[in-house]
Amino acid sequence: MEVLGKNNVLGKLVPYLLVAPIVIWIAVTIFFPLFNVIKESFYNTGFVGTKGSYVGLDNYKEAVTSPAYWEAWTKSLVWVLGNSIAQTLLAFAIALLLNKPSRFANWARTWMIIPWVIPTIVVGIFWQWIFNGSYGIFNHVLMSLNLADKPVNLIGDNTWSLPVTIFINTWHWFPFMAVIVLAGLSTISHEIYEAADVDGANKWQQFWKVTFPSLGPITFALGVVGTLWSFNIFDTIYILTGGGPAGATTTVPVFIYQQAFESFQIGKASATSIITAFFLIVFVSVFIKYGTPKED
Amino acid sequence: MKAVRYLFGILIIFLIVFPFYWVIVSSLKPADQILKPDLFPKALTLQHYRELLDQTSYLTNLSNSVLVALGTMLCSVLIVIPAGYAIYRMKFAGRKFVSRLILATYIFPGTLLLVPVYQMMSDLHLVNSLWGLIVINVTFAAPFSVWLMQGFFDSVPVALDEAAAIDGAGRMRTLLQIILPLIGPGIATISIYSFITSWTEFAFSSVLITSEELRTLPIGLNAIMGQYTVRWGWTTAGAVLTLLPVVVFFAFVGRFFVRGLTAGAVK
Repeated sequence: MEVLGKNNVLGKLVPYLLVAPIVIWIAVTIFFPLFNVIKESFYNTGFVGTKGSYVGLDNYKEAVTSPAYWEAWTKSLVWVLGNSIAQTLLAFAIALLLNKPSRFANWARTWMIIPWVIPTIVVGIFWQWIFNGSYGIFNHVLMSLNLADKPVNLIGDNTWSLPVTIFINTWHWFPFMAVIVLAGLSTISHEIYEAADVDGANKWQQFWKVTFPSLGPITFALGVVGTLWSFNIFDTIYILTGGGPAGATTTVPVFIYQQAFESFQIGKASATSIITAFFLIVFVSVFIKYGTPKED
Repeated sequence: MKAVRYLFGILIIFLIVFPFYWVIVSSLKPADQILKPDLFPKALTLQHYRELLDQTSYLTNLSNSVLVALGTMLCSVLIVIPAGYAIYRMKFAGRKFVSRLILATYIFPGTLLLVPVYQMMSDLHLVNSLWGLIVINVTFAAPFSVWLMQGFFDSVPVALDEAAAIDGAGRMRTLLQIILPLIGPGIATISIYSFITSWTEFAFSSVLITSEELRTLPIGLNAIMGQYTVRWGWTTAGAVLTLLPVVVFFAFVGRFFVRGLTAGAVK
């Protein structure tokens, strides 16, 4: 009997042993560094690897009173909203288009995700080449259609750079979103639509009364994770514009990067990171509290 | 209505395909024609590719990228599968907490962590090492992979675990001999996901790698771009050579990946 008892204790330990590797991995690479950010945010550390002296809440005070930080938040809000709206619309439209069994739909489902598969740097090169301000094909088309009389440098333009960067990032990400929406659509049984047909509901009513509510959980997950993902996108912007021109595309992550690695103010960048993470946590909590789909 | 749908479909296909076409065609144009907007090239050449292979460290970058992607893939599968098995198939105190903790990684993402991760890696002597990249890529590939595995674990009947337990098989043997073969498609899906996450990673690679011979493809390509801004022949050829491996890879496994993504995301 004693052996059995020992086995039982071991058996209780098994799940903890199984989750231990991933929990340790995440703790070491995310939560441990996070403590470091919190610590550094109270020091006036400059260069990475140097030691600063304790300055209390100075970094925080400077961060919240810095107009550049709030300017970055405005850009981030435009960035997140623009990306979410464009990607959601495209993803839903494409998913609805491909949500019927046909050879083409099958093939298209696989291959349409290709813009998401390629590295951001390649996406950057694609569109910098197309939108190039001197000899890009886009300018050539604009000019031959008489829509512009001289080449325009959209990516380097004060007003256009942010929308164009949003467009390029949308091109990179919407296929992934479309696949997730398609996954949600595939769970809705055809019988519901047939019943709706019998009841005389038109396609538009069917979408709002059947399709949309069934997609609740997936839309919710995309809402939380997708928003965080797009808020935190750094590479697309950094590769395309480096945050310019004149800060026109400096979203919060780009701002933090510049503070840390270009102005060498690790302390300030850490405080900025903490304040930003705080807002993200508030966003996620509010979203989960009011946005969780009701189960019935 | 049907016409609108066809029009929309064609527009989307054009939007996806054109950038690929344009960069590939440009990379094949001779140097004196590349800046001209000819949709169909008048002459084709592999000159840019030859120069790129001879004069830049493309091949070294490629092998670094492959090593890091394979390492990331292996490590994330090795930590995700046991975790998924415990979270989705066992009852234990703290189960909810663990799955929340894994999801919480999305809140503290990339850029906010660039600085402290750099500091930590430098304490661990993992700056300028491919291992450092593998470690951080797994961090970003694993959480979503755990979430994806839920659908696959759920599709295996619990009765199988019970039958195995009655036959006297321990938890580990049940996982290895009974569950593992049945969640093959899930393992394939998260492998591909990890591979792609690693292949495309930019921010950490550019901060953590300081020497030229350890650069991955995206960083190497960025350097070529920055150094020779006007050499569009090299830049476009480099872009093609960077996307080519992953597109070839995807041609073989893409079907399984999209199917797996669909199956995993449903739950």
